[in-house]
Amino acid sequence: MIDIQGLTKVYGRSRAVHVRALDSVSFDVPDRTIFGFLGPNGAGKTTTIRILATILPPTEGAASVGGHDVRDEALEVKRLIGYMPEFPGFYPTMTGEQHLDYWGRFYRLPRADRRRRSKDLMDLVGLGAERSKKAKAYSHGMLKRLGLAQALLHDPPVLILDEPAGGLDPHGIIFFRNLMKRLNRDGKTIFLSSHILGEVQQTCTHVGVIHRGRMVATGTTDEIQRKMGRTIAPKALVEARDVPDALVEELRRLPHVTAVDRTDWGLIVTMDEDVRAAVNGHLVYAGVEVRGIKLAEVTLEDAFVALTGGEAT
Amino acid sequence: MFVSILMLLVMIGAAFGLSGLASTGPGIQNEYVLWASPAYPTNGSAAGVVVWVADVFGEGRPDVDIALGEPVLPNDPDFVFRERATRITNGTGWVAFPDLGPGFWPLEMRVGILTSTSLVFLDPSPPPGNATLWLRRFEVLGDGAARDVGLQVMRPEGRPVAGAEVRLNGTLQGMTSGDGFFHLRLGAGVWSVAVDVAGERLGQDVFVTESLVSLPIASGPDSILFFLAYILMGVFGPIVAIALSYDALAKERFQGSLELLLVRPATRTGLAVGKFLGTFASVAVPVVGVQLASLAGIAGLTGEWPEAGFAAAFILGTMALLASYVLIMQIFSTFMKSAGTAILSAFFVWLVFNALWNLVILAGTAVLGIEGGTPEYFSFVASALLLNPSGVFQLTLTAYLPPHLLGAFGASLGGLPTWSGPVAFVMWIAGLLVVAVLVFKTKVV
Repeated sequence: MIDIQGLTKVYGRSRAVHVRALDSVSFDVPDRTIFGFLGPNGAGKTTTIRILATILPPTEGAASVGGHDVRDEALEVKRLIGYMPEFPGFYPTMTGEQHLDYWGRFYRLPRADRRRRSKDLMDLVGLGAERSKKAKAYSHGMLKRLGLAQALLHDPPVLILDEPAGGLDPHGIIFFRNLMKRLNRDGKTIFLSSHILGEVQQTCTHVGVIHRGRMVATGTTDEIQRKMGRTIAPKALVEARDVPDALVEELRRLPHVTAVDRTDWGLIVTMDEDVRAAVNGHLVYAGVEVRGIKLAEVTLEDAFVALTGGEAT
Repeated sequence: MFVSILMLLVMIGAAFGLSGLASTGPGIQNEYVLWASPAYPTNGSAAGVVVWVADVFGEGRPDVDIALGEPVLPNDPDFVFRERATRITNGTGWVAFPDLGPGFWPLEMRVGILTSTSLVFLDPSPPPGNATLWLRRFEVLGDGAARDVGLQVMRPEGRPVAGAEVRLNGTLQGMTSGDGFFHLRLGAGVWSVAVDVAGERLGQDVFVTESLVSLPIASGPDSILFFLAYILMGVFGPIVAIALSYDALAKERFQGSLELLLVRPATRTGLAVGKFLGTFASVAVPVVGVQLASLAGIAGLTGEWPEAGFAAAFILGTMALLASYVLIMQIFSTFMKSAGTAILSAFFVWLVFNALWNLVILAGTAVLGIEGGTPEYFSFVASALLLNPSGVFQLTLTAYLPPHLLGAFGASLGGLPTWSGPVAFVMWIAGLLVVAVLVFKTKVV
């Protein structure tokens, strides 16, 4: 549904302000998926999203939505997408419902349809009781919900959302997660960026990681985790109490063990090879009661940190 | 809304205030003007003198004493008026002294204590041509500029030419009256006055200085409208347009609604033009309301409506003025990233096109070495006005001034054709719209 090939964006013509925000970025977003777009601050997420939303022209390369090029067929792309910026801005003195009615006119929706659609959408995003309030009276979470409502106004097959859950409280995050899944079940392709990696892991079917303007990984969420599981140093979670300090030091000196850390429930042993049997034997031989020892799963966060060198999202 | 109400109050108040001021009108010397012409009869009789006494507008004055003196030598420093005959003007202000023969004949007009003397030269033979143009200038408005021109067209035999076409800088102004009179009121500058008589063109150039009075006293619906249009709308129009449009795009940008606008299914050109039309409508609708209310107020206060063409120029010229400023601010607003810079840009635009423009003209004349008060100066000033929407507004209003106000208060086209203002507005708006669209397409991201 979304195809990006060799996308490059350079800001500024002079050398002093020359910034290469995107550098030959290529990936695609399959139809009817929820694609999580991850990357540290300044990695190029918002630039990519703004190009897809036809707001920014690319410097080089191509991006298309539903087979329509964002540069040459911008109008067709605009009809296919619903876009929600990270900080959706509204006219302070207009009510939520008036905003939807105003934007609805751009899609040539008849007045009756606009009214019905506005009401339905306000209900959908949980603003049914607030639809007659002016936007200046909305909280951050309510503005986010209104931002999503305006993106859904013309029932687009593709949603492009920049940090939809950013700044929301846990209830808001859960609401958005469930709504994303519901919209996806209804057939929509959702392309979203997020800082909340756990949320992406729970919501997204596919993930792309961008770092310093370059794509460093794309695939399904499971694929990314499996792939990174092969490259990230394995960790043994040892459930054992009262391990003497001297024994911990002995474990650190074992071949292929790179670090041993204490926790409330036992030890985390970081290895460059799976030497759980040797660790277990060493502990049992010393008389420690080992209740369990297993390999830690690689989370999306682990994968992200490994891919981006530990830079903050 | 607040701005509209304030503007309405100011304009109605000004109209009311102006309606109470008395007209200066012509003084006694302008009420009784002696027009004397040679008359060469076609029947072989000796030449004589025909006299009309009329006001500056050509309205005849009956029952005025006119005395004819004995002929004199030209430039005689010891000239003494020795009365030869006295006659009284008839109902049209006319009187004749036939069979006088060649020489310099003195005439005296006596109105109360006012005595006005004139000298008529009778040649032995009639002058060539079908007619003679007599042109005189008067200071009627009391503004220090002799901008009222009276003219009389006479045939050699002493009969007036009625219905002769009078042109000002080539533009037809009207036709001479039954007594051959016509009146013009001119603005500062150089004017070419021409009269066509039976295929023959009689002409004379007239140079009118600037008004010496800064704020003229006006009366009548057109004069009041003139004041409202030039002074109030000329000042408030740009301020209202700038105040309501300076952050048209900048505000959308910093409140975040611009992104939501850009993703709607419309072209950038369509969005830029739509933004202009929306902003313009928000400015123009209340201003038109104020204008219509002002016109009604003038009519209510004076009992007369302003002249239709002038009123239309007032409304349409104001719309063009507002459109120009809205577009200028939309262009500036495209580049502004914050409310502070947007406000600064608004102040800058107002300052340049309104407060500082005279300095621009002053600098221009200094650089080009143009002397003030000369025809070149007036031409340069008018041309410089074309580069300023407020100046184009002035030129447009001047082009559609009613004839009796032509040239009043120093308004002048400086030799430019009457269409220059409206055409300049069309070019301003079209040019600014193109620039506004281009910068929107390339700079709004």
